[in-house]
Amino acid sequence: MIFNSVTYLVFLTLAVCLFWMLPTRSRLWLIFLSSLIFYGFWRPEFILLILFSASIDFIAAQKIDQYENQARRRGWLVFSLICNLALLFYFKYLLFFVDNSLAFASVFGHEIPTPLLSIILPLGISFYTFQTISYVVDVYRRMIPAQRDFLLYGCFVTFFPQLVAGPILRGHELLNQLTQRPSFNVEMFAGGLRRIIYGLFLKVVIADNIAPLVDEGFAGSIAKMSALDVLTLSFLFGFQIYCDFSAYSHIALGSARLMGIHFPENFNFPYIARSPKEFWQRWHISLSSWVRDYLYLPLIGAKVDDRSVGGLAVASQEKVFAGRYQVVALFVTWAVMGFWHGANWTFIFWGLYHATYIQIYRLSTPFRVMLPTWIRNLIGWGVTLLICMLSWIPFRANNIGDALSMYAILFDPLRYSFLGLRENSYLIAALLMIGFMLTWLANRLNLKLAESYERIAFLLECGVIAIASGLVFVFLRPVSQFIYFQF
Amino acid sequence: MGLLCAVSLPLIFLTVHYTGRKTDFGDASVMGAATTSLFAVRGAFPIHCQPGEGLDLAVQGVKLRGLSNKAVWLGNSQLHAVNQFRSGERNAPDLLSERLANRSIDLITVSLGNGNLQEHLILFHYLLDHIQPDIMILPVVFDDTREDGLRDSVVDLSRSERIVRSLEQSDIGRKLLKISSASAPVPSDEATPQERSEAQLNIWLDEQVPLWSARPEMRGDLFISLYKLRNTVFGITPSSKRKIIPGRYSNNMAAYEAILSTAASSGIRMLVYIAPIGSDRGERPYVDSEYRRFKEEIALLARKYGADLENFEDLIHETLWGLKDLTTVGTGKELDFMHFTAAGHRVLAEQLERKFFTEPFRAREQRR
Repeated sequence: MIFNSVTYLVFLTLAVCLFWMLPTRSRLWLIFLSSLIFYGFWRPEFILLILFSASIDFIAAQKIDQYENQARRRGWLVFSLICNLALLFYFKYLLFFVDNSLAFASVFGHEIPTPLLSIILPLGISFYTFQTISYVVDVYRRMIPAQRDFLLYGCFVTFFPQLVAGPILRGHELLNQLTQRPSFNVEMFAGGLRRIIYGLFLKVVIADNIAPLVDEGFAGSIAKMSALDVLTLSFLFGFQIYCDFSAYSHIALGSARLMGIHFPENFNFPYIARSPKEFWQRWHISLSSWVRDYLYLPLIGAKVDDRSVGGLAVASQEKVFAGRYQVVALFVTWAVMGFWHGANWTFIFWGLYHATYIQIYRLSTPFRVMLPTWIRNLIGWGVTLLICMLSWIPFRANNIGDALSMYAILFDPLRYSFLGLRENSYLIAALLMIGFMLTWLANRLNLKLAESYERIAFLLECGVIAIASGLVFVFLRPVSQFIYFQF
Repeated sequence: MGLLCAVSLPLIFLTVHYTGRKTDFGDASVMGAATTSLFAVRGAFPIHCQPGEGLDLAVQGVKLRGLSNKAVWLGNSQLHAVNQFRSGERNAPDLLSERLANRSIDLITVSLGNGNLQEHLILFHYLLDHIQPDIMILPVVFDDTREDGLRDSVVDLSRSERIVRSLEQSDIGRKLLKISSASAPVPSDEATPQERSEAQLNIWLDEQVPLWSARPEMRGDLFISLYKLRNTVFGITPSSKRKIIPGRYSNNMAAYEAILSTAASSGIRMLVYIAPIGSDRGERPYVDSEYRRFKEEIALLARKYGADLENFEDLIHETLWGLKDLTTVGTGKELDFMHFTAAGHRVLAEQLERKFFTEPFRAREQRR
């Protein structure tokens, strides 16, 4: 089921009403069954897959918890990891590996006919696989006990607001909340509704209306693009993907809050970041902190954290490996981060691009600290914004060749003398940038106003909600899925 | 309570504003109330239509009439829009169709508001497949080369296997097929439960909640308001220069060439004309060098494929152009560079007949 649909709004209303009418145990049944229905609205047959995947981790976690013997514990952990990654590999990466292996063989003169493979990528498989891996690893690390109740564990894996595109939650963040019986709170409920309205506004009013400009731009001939076109397209797509994905997180957080459940934030104005470190503390926070805790920190031999907050850059306390090994770990982590997004070289390139920027940023630290703070912040913001926006080119381009050709345009002085897109594209990109900065400022201002002039802040927010909800009513259509559904 | 009020307010406003109101986007919102769309009908069958609105019937009409020569005229809103329309007035396709009928030529016209040559390519293949025309009239308008994209009603025409095969013959045709296949509707038996429930809920809401069914109109109004706001803020007027958009231009020129090449290989007589365009004291809303290059390329390709070409850019006298509603914030009228009055339509029909269907043309036809 997709959030930007009337179907979801009807489904959510029914689920929330029933949730508050039922006793605690029945609520778990309601969450579990409604989550399966939610998932089945896409393709019912894949419900079995998600249950199978969840069952393996449920059993593996119990075995890990049960044994004291470290070898046995590790054995069950490896078993669980192999099962999870094998499923992910089959559904998401098999075609990529087959295609590339055949291409590689053909380089050496072995022409092997391409086998006819048709594999449907199950919705949200990357998200729920990472979530269940974190659960098993947390049990292995003795951060949480293994769950004995399959219903509760099933709710943790399948809870519909976060099932398809996150946030990727940790066991202790959700399991405890599911067992509690929150009392109905009007403030919390209103907060949930507000988040849903903001999310729908970002998706159906902003992201879906930028999409045609982006699609047309990337479908156009690269030979006829100017450097300003490349920059404009990267900014437009940067805003599209931000509005699209943060919209999903807003709606997920809001939907959960309607049932008294709090999710950690997944986005926090990423385009005001002044460094790559800060960017990843603000963008897809649950994934970047997952990669930090379950990949990067173990690779450099440091202690791990147990929160899906803080992004990739939360400092580790005990660095065991440093120097060259840390650089290798950084690049491996980012290659995996890219590959997680999709089975395509463009995503691996995107990951390595970010790793390179982080490494250069680290190396430039001695020079940066010599600058006055305000200059450092200003330059940091400008450079980070530009580099992060340009990083979206391989993310959106059809192939690595197109992405590199678009980058090459930026280094050709002759390509700065004309414009190749429709005039509205430049105008909308500029308006989005201004709108983003104003929203950030208004958000800060409203927080300060709320402290001293509560009434004015309240009225301002009511005005914003009135406009946003009116526009959501006018534009609500499942024109397109959320971009992150494909991951 | 505050949240409830905030959510209710816009709904109350929209209910008050849209109850009982119905805007015809073909006229009032797209071209303004000063401009009227006319689509002529002969007997029970349209002789001038748009895809998805009478094209099937128009094709059926041609088949039933069975005249010896069949002609198609493709174009943009210039063909159906009449400025300052008065009851009883007729547009160029209607007039020309009547005149050509006397010469045993059955003319049907298909025009698209803000159409582009890529859409015309699909339309042309559709008409070629369904009525095998002997003559094609194609106006080329610089503004159309700045347009892109395929509307659903045109995409629907490209679904049949025969049309797919013929479109596959050109690079631009393959590109268009890629676009149209991306927007192909999911067959109902392959639809997911989500798609089925969404369709049912929307049908139900459209029937039961008038405000819900008025949403396309609201979206249209909103975009027009934003368009007018943009024009006001940036001082964009009808005289503002419209520049070439390179990607769109090359796609449209490729489509133009594909139309000519297909028509030539099918033995169809091609009548191409540079469409009339208004001017503000002699100034056209284009960059001179770009417009010149456009006309040269049109002529070059017309020669290459043996099409008859006429330049009608100055055909319509400035007194016949008329006015359209303001495209900036406010009320009032402004010059319309694209559409003219019924008197202008008469001039266009007469000139087309004189230039393309006179004795030399007929003699050449007979020689063939």
